Amino acid sequence: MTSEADFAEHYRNNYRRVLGLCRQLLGRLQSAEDAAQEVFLRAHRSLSSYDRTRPFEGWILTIASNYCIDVVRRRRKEAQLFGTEGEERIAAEADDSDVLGDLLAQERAAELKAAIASLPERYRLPLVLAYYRDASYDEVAANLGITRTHAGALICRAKQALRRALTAANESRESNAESRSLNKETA
Amino acid sequence: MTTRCPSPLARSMYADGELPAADAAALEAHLESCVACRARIGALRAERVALRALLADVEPAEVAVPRLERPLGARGLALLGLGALAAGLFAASLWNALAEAVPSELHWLSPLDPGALLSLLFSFALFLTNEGFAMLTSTVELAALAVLLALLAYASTAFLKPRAGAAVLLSVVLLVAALPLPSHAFELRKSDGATAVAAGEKIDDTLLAVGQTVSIDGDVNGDLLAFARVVTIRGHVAGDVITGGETVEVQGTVGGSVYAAGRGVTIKQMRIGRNLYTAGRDVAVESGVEISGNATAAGSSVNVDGKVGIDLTTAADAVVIRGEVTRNVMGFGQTITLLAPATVGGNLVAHVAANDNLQIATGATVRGNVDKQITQGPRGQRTVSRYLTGSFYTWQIVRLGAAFLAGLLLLWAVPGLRTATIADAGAGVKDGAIGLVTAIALPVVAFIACITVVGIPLGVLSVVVWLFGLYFAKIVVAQMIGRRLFVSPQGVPHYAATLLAGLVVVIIAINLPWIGWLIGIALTLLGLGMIVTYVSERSGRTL
Repeated sequence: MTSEADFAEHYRNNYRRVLGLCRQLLGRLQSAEDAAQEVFLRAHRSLSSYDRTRPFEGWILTIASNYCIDVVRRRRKEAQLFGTEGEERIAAEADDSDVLGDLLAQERAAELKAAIASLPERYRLPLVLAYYRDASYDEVAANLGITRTHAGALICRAKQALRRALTAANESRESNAESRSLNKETA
Repeated sequence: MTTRCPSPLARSMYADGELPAADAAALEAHLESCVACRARIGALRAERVALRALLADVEPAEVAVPRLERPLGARGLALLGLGALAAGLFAASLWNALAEAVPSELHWLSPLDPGALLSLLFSFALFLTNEGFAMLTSTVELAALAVLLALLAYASTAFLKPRAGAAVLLSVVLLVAALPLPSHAFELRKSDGATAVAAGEKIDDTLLAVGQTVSIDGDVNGDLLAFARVVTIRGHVAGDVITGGETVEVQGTVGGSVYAAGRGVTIKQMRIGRNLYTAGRDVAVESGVEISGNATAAGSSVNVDGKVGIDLTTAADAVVIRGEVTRNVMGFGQTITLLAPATVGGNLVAHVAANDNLQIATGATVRGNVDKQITQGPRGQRTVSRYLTGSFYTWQIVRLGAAFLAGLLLLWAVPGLRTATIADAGAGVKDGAIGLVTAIALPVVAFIACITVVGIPLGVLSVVVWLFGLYFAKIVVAQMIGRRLFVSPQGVPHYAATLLAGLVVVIIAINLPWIGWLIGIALTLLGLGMIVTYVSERSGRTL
């Protein structure tokens, strides 16, 4: 059995990771601090099931994603939280917006974070699982109870949505800048 | 040869290294010849790196590692168990002391009163805490002892060092010595048909008799508990009589008090050493009955023809008194009638619906004053005036303080309840329904457990759990309300602050005129449902 001191050490080492995951997965649904607390409580209760040969971080992040997905599912009662695979695939094929790369270069992390936070849950959850937790598509699919391709389509759609959001923000900023300079000229 | 460009989905999956091998090979073949796609894939990979870096970046301002909240472990559970036991014993003795001083009519003032939920609850709580307690004490003590022993045994093996074993053994011995050993012995008579104690038969212990019909013609030296469809008692009982049934007929002599409930309760030709508490649709205390202490009778119709040694308190649609009451009569009813040769040695206070509804026939005597009060609706004057009394506010502050301390203890022991909440209206209705079922089911379980002897400890336990649940329900709701009050981007303050704020709101809400009692019931049921939901989620869900 892992001792209390060990657990406290794990807590200190992993709290930020867990908190971050909860924040990304839950968005505004529930306080991420509360969720992280709950995750560690659950972990502590089931310490006996923790396989010490494997990294603690992976184990606690699994508990955290299961907990958060549970919370999201409970709050959102729609039968198909993640849409259908067919719809999402077709939508993913249809959209071929620019890649975020250049936009990201423009030091717009804050805008992108806000855009991630306001993504619909069906896109945010798989994206965060894949890119924050480094979960494979198979793991994401298993976590969310959908197929692998469905998970891939949702992640693809998530990125497309982010690009659109950033492009829109970009355009409005440019037009603002233009109108400001026009104003200056007229003045 | 140039193949068709891969779809955005295929490119995205490929950039993530997740495209199935066959598709990936085809895509790579295409990349050889398509500059645009190569650029796209490169950009997608850069995007992946950038997104991962961004997501991994948790703002430093919010990452201070909080104090490690340890969940309730074996030690905590043991401490909590001991604490609850001590608190329970303390509360019980305090209650007993208070019960001596406070007239039984004022028991509704108790902080455990869940908003006059059911009068049934009242009589049952009274039964358990007052006279019934004396009889049940031995069982409770036995159960407490067993729990303590189990806890200590568990504690010693689970988390104490081996050499502490001696200390544990010592404390067990001390506890066994300190706790009074069960002094009451039980005798049980149970049958599907008729259960009887024949005339001339003597029973030295407390007797619990259950059956279709119960007839007691012999002598019982302890207490008598009798539950059946028809209960007939004609013998002599030295202790108390606690009885319930469709038809209850009691005569003979009883040294202690009589608690009788049934559809029809008839007390005839009898001497009662202490008090009579009775409730039923038709309650009759016939002439020839002598009660040394007080009599309390409630029902649809109450007839008192016998003699009451001290006070008579009665509540019924129709109250008819022909007997003799040495001191005062307090009556609540649609109509109250005193017929000859009724005699009231002290005062008569009659709460009746209309001026003409108090009738004192010629030949009936009231030596003291007659105070006639016309009740205005079900909640009458008491509701209006209580806000003007200082004691009301003092009481509420005491209540707030007690609930706050109890809440702190609860939230400290069960950190998960600090964040218990209700997702939406639907979940609220569901929790309320669960609360309602729990509020009704537990006493039923307790009652069934009590009459099927195996379960007297179980019955007592259910009632204790139930009372605690009712008490903690509003606290849980208060904590939720408190958290809603303090919602801010910086997070929520310490749970003591949210609890206190929530409790103030709840106590004000449940004391609102006219609707406060309804709010109280609603909040209690909601909280009870939340607790049950929480507990079931905790125990049922796997990670």
